[in-house]
Amino acid sequence: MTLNLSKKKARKWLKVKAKLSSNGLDISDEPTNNLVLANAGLGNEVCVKVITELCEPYGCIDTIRSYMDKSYALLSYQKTDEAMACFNKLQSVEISKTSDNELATLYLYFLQTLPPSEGAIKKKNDFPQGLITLENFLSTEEEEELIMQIEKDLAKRSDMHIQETLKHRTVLHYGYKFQYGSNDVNSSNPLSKKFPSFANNILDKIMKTGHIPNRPDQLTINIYNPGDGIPHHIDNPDAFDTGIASISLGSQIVMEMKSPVGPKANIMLKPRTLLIFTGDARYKWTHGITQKKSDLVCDERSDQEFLVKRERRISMTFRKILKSTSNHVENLGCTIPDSQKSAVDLEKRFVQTVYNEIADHFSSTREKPWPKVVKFLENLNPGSVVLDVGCGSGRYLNCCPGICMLGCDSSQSLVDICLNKNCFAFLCDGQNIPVRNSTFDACICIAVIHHYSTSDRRHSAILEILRVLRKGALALIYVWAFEQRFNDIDSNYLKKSHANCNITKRNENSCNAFAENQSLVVHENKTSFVQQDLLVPWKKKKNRHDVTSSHNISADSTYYRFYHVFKQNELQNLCQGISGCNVIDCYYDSGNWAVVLQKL
Amino acid sequence: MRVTRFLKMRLMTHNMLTSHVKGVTNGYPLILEATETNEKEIDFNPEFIAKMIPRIEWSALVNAMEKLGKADLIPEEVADEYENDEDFLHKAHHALLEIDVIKGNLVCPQSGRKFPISNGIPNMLLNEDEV
Repeated sequence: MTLNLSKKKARKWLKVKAKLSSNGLDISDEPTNNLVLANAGLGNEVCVKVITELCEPYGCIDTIRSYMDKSYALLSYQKTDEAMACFNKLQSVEISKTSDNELATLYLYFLQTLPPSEGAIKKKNDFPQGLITLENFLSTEEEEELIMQIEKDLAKRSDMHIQETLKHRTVLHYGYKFQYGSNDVNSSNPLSKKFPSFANNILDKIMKTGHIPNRPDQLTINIYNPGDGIPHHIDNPDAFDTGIASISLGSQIVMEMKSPVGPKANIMLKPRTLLIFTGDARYKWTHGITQKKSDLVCDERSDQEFLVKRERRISMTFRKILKSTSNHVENLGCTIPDSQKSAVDLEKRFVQTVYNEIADHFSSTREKPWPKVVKFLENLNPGSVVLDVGCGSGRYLNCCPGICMLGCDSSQSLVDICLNKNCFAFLCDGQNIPVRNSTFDACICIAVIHHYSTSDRRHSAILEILRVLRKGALALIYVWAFEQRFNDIDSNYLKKSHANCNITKRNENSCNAFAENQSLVVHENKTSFVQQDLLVPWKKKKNRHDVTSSHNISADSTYYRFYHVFKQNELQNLCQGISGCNVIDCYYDSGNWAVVLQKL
Repeated sequence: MRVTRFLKMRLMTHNMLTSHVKGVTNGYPLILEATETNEKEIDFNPEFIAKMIPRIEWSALVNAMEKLGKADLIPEEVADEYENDEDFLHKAHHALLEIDVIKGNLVCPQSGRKFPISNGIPNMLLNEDEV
């Protein structure tokens, strides 16, 4: 085995080899049918597709393994001379990475044996609880008939269905239209009371399995062309009942499922398979399909992995709408307020009342003070008297022993929590702080002003803070930022999402749909914002268990809080328009915009 | 400087609060009606109290102490050179920080609107027709 490399590259080749060996790979100096492709792993942003296309010309590929956390990929050919050909031809070849226009230099090594699979395909016992898969649920004749009917509907308009082209797939809706922006259906506005007969027949057959408590009345058909996918999601528990049934037609696909506590499972969906989501699979695990043109599939008998190309796949998803939900925002007539009265009503319902309801849970998740706020307080003169406007559960009221802090908030439950924590706060509205003029040496107002629903009220909230400040005193104001990605860094809020990339894209799509009206979008948590005025769901954890055990979900597990998220410079501009104060600092801090004001 | 934490409504807070009902022009000071109070000793920090004196509306503090039946514990006027007057600072300290008002009302002097204090927390939220 000779290497035909420049001196420099040969040195590099040896260095990489040593590194791979130290990582536990069993590198062989003699040719084998297995190869390590250094720098060609998912961890180095090289996608499996690139490797496949690169290596296919040299022989029949048995297995490709690429890992998110490793910079190398592993590949095995059926024969050693195929691996040798690849080894010689691709040595030090430059390949393109997925992002940017960067190149990676490929180094190849023979590998004694492939390490045991890290479970690209999980065995059945690792599947989420409550996931029911019935293979060969349909005959090939039934499958063909369904595909034909669906293709017919795709080709024509009818009053029974609605067709939509999303970024990464095409969908048809029957019964009710699924609204991607609000993740919901408008239950008072059905498309048609009935399903087409092809859907009804198949639904009859599904109901006979006995796994679905209530007969579904909404059908979404997804058409996935090779390379299409769907972001990770849980079907809205407030909008749909348990027992969601999905039938796969036309092509296999690997569906990925993720548990909130970590485990993942790849579910191989063969054509004609019926999948039913109940229990944890319905309410706790997310599911999604990665955008790829092929799937890594494990042959159960030989335990070998193969790349299988995807064909056009159609899925039919049947869901039962929950009509009792009072939180259907569509039915609330929630629009951006156009008067003081409607603004007050909206905030009462979507801010004050909600905080009273979620206070305990909210408090338990808001223990840690933000470092820059603490720093602001620590830099004040000792003995300063400071008001925390909208103190919530009082996380800043006793973080700084050298100053005298009082809090105020409009939520009785939150003020009670302050009291239990040995802090003092009084009840009032930030629009009318019941404090005489020029009293405080400083104010903080953290994550409060974004809850006011008109720009007038946001403006007057700042005026009110300035009024109670002494001359020369400082105020620190934080609001939630529309930009959750700043200087190319995702905020923690986005980072927590598994699949935010995909969801972000989808939301950008649906954004346009809402630009036309003044209605408040229900925000999808952990994703980018689609508009500035929105309702952000708060899921009360306490009720999670009840939800999973009951078919009749109580809607009060989700609360909605109104937010106006601020765009870059918006807060600054708002403050600069106020006479009597100077904006002395303005910065972005972990998904928030902050200003420091000084009263003149 | 370690500053005392407030646990309940104290006269220092009372001294800052004002009635903010729509239309009210003379909402200060609020009339203190206490039905339950609690006294406890707090570490005396003369430096802090001296710093507070210029911010206190002294007549309002005297007024509140009168309402609590403790007029004899508070001088009617701020002492000259109070920074060095330990006796005065002690009395101010006691009045401002050592009396918790657990229950009662803060009454708007102009409109008569009562803002209830319960469990040491004044409820200054206004009704819709008051803003």
